[in-house]
Amino acid sequence: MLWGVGALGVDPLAVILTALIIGLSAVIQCFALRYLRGDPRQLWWVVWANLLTGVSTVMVNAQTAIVFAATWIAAGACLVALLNIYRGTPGAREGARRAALRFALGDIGLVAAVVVLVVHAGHDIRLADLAAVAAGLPPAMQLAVALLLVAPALSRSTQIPFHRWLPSTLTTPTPVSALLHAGVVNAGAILVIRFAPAITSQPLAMTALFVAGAATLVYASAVRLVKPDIKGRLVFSTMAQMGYMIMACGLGAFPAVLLHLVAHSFFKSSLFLGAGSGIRSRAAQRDWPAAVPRTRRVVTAAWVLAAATSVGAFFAATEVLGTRPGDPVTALIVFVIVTAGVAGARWLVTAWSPLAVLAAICAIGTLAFGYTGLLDVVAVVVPLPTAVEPVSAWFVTIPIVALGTLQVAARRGTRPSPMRARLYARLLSSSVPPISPRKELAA
Amino acid sequence: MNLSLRTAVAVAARSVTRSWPLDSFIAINPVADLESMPFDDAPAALRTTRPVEAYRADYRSGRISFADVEAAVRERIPEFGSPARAAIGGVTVLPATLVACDLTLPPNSADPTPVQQSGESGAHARLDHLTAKWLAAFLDPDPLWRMPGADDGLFGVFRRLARYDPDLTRRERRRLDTLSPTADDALAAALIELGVTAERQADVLHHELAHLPGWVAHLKWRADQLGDVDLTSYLALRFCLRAAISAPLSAANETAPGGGSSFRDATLRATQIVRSLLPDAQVDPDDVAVVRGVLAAHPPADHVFTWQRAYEIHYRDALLEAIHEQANLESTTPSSEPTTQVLFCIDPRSEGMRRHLETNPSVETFGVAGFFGVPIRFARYGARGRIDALPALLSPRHAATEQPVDPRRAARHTAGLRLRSAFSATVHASENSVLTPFAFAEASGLLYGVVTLARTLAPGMTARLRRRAAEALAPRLASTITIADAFTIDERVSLAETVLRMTGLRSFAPLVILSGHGSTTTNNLYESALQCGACGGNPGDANARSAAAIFNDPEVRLRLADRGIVIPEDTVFVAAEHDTTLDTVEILDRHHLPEHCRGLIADFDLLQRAAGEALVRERATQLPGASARHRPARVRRRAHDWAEVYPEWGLTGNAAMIVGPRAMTRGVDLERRVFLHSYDSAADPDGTGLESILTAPVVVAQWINHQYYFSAIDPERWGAGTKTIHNAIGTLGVLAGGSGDLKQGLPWQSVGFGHHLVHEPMRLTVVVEAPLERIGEIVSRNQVLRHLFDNAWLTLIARSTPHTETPSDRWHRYTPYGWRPWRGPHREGATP
Repeated sequence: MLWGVGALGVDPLAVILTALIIGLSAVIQCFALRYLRGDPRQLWWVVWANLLTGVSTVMVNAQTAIVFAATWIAAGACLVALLNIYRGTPGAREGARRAALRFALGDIGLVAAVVVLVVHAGHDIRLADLAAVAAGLPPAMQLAVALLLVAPALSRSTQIPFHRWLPSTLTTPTPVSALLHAGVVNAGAILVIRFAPAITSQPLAMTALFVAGAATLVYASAVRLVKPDIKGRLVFSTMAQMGYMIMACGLGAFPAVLLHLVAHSFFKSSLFLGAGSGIRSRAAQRDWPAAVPRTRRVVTAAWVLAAATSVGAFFAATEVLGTRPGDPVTALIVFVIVTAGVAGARWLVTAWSPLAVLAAICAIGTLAFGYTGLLDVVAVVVPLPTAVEPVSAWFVTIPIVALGTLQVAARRGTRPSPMRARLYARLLSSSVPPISPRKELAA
Repeated sequence: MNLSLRTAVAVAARSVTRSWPLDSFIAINPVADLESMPFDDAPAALRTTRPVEAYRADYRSGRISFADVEAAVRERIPEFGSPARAAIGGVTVLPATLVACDLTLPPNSADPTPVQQSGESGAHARLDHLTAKWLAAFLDPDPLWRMPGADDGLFGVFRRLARYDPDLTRRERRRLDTLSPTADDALAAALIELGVTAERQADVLHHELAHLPGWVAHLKWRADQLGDVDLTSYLALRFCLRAAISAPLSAANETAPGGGSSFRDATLRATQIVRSLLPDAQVDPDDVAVVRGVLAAHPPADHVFTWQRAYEIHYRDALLEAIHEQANLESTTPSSEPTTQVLFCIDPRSEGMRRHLETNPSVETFGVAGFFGVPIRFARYGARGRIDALPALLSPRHAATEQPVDPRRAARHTAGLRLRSAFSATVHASENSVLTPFAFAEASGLLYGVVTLARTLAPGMTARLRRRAAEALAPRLASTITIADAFTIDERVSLAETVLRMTGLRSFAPLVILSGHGSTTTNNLYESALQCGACGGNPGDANARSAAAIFNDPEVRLRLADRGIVIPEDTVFVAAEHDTTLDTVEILDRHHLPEHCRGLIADFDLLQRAAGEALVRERATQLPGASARHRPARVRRRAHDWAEVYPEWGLTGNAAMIVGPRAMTRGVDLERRVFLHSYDSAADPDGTGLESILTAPVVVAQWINHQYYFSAIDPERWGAGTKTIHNAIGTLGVLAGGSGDLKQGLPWQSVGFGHHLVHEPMRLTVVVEAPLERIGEIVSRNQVLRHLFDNAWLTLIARSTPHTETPSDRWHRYTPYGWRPWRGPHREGATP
């Protein structure tokens, strides 16, 4: 039934993703209508952005392996073309080249895996039947297919070891970056979800996802700290966010993955499109009153209060809404608790007053119940695969501790130590695409 | 550290023009160090004009006429101005005509192409890459992780960290392990290691500073203004790296322009000219020899400069002609007793508003530097930050702030702002802490999505909502500027007197409006470049309010009367702000308005609304994506549109400055291309006012003019390139893409559209109406002016009095050899 009636199909996930892709693309293109006015390459943008939107839409609606793989590769090609929009500038060519190379590496994995599956089945397979087909393969083959499917997900979502392409893509106009950071990089998670039956049953593949995600999360968060430029910070922020998402894939927390994917798309596209606002907001902030100095007691009280409220609220929320400890979702909720705590504390320290305390408690409570509730709603509304062999949620402690250590290392006013100096120099060197001494010899 | 090296650094640093950070964009001449030599002597490698082909295209389109070229030749080669004639085949021809033929005849071989600088070698690219990396990290004003040991300064931190840099090989790192602790010693040691002898030091340092010009220009500014870094540290870092990675010293990059052999052969050119002059006759070798002799005085390397001059002469002639014709216009005369006088900034954009306001004869307008002579460092009420609202030529000495009229409202205002500040701090902490952005993105993503949608699809409504919300939270504050604390009474009186003397404002209408200007734009890193240059790249409202307060002060008026300037008691000075994107003139400090002038203010409001709409329609014809048929509201929406890269054209097109009474130009459409400074030589008998104008506003206008000029000449090198790939580093500047040099100058969206320039790069023509001797004295007294005028970075045209019989004699052009009469437009010159 190659290219049969069932090649495309609609399910709740496809509906959500289609709406997301078309909505974002429409808004960004609307933005670009004015932003790229007079740009000699505007036509290039319109053509390739629409092609990218089109094939991505087909991709999320694909119901068979071959259709998915074909549109996946086409989406990668469209993106490379978009990255090459200012092809006259060396920076743009370099970015497109790096992306193309890493996409190709990942896509070889996808093609190989799909070929194996299709040859084994004798026809194009519906993704819904993937579990049965994969189960028919010899165990070693099952593992190979799973790992081959992980590679394209990592390369598209700019994960270690395929992470070096994203930072080189800044010689493209802002709308291209917005489309890339809000859209294309999410595809890794979509691939994992769509091919979940072949991946989640393999502990090694799940571990690969988790390790790559967690490592990228820590690495990109660290590099971001030494980036001085706004778009550079956004690039590494995206990389870290994708790390978080891929790590969640490894945990099998697919509702959380979907929520993160959608929310991050909105978040990052907005930040990219507004990347020119720094001067204005600095000018506005100049007119604000100076911060009130707070006594140690107030600061301590603020932190204790924020921390206690956050932990309490989420404990209550998980109790009420019945999420079990040890669930992958619970592990990710630690991130939410920390965020609520930090935000709450910062708020209380700057706006210390009874009303501010009340506002903080209300906000954290709403967040706790809203977030857990939303996850449950997603899980109910969107039928998502369940992971057979997820990585234990306890391993999330490792990236959390690493990130916490990083926060301490980057704190202001700490005395310089050789360790910190070494770490800083390494991160700084990772933060810009390298020019190696070898290349110099070639030149 | 030896003294000679220190001197060498200081000498090399002189060649660097500092460039201001983005949040207080000050226009500069990027090659200001060349101003001490003639414009036409700039090294060919710098390419200070457009390519010859661009001028030829202008010639074909009629933008430059044959007569313009002839006039340009005569201006550039004064010997050709005398009635010397050459006889070609029995016809007498002016030498200037022969040269003009040489320029305008279609080339029979390729024009000399500008010499491309040899591509940087790999080692140099790597050196630049490494240097830029360290500079960006160190200079970042708002780092998430401050460099460990940043207190030790640029070189100190480099010395501490570079030894761990994985971008270097182990051998290179080891070399950086043993650097001297001070920048001075390390620089000296590195120079010795690179084999630089003491005599060559100054030269080598000079060449080194030509690399990464954007960063170096920023460093220079930072060294002068903040002092937390200096060029010695930078050079030490640079040369230590250079020595460590064994990058050879950069060769002097003045490559000689292509040799004579690649040029059109002079004989060939001469033959072509003779043939074009005498199409029917045989070419006589003697004629060719004569022509060749003339051409020898004007070698091909000079062609672009003559073309550029011709390009400017065309505009200048049209401008002077327009002024001349205006004298015959009857309808433009204002009423003898205006009810409203408005002082605008000299900014060319004011010209549009003035022209449209003056359609009403009861309005009289003046032009003066937009800080109204009040240089202040200004902080809003209770604010954490301040702005230096003064021209870059002055240093901030007087701090002013606001005093709220109603303390209770002020408390609400402050509380509201505190809440905003707390909210913003919370968002910032959640976005930028290490552990928090992930959940923060999830929690706030939907909100960001809604904001994106609203800002893209309904920018005007979104801006209105935002403003309303902001005002509900922190109500607007009626306040008074504490100008009496900033200046003594004597200072205030002399500030007021200076403004009046410079503008020639002597008889006062009941309502005098001081209108500063600002620009509302959204998501625009270059918004400061659209603000008032005289206010340090800030909106001019604070200065206008201060000046109004000074003029309304009864004690100031009393003392002014002692000095012979009588301001009638019922005359009220009112501050206003002209928004150049919206084209509105908003009256400020309305709470200070006395009852009796409210009627006049209401009249003015109506007037400015009509003028603003007319001006918006006029501007809409030039703005990309706008049309005169659009409603003004639609054009104005660009101010709030975060996707708009062309919110307004700014000072694009600026080409001249007119110093003289408005009567010279009233009623003339100067197309918002001219700086207008009011001046009345009768009101300034000793010339001090004129001297102030020529040494301050004219110089600032020249900076702006050259900033636009060079940003248009080479948008990638002297301009900032396209905005679409700009990537800001805090408020200090932008990168194009992810790394590299800091961009200088104006973005492409300020000078061009598509593939075409919108800004016509022309050096400023300064037109002055004042006694010639007085101008000459002032110029010869001031070295800055001598450099600018003698070296043709500016053109100075003047006339002593407005009433002369023959138009062609009354204007004079300043030359190093004295005043030359302006011959008037040479429209009759026939093209051969």
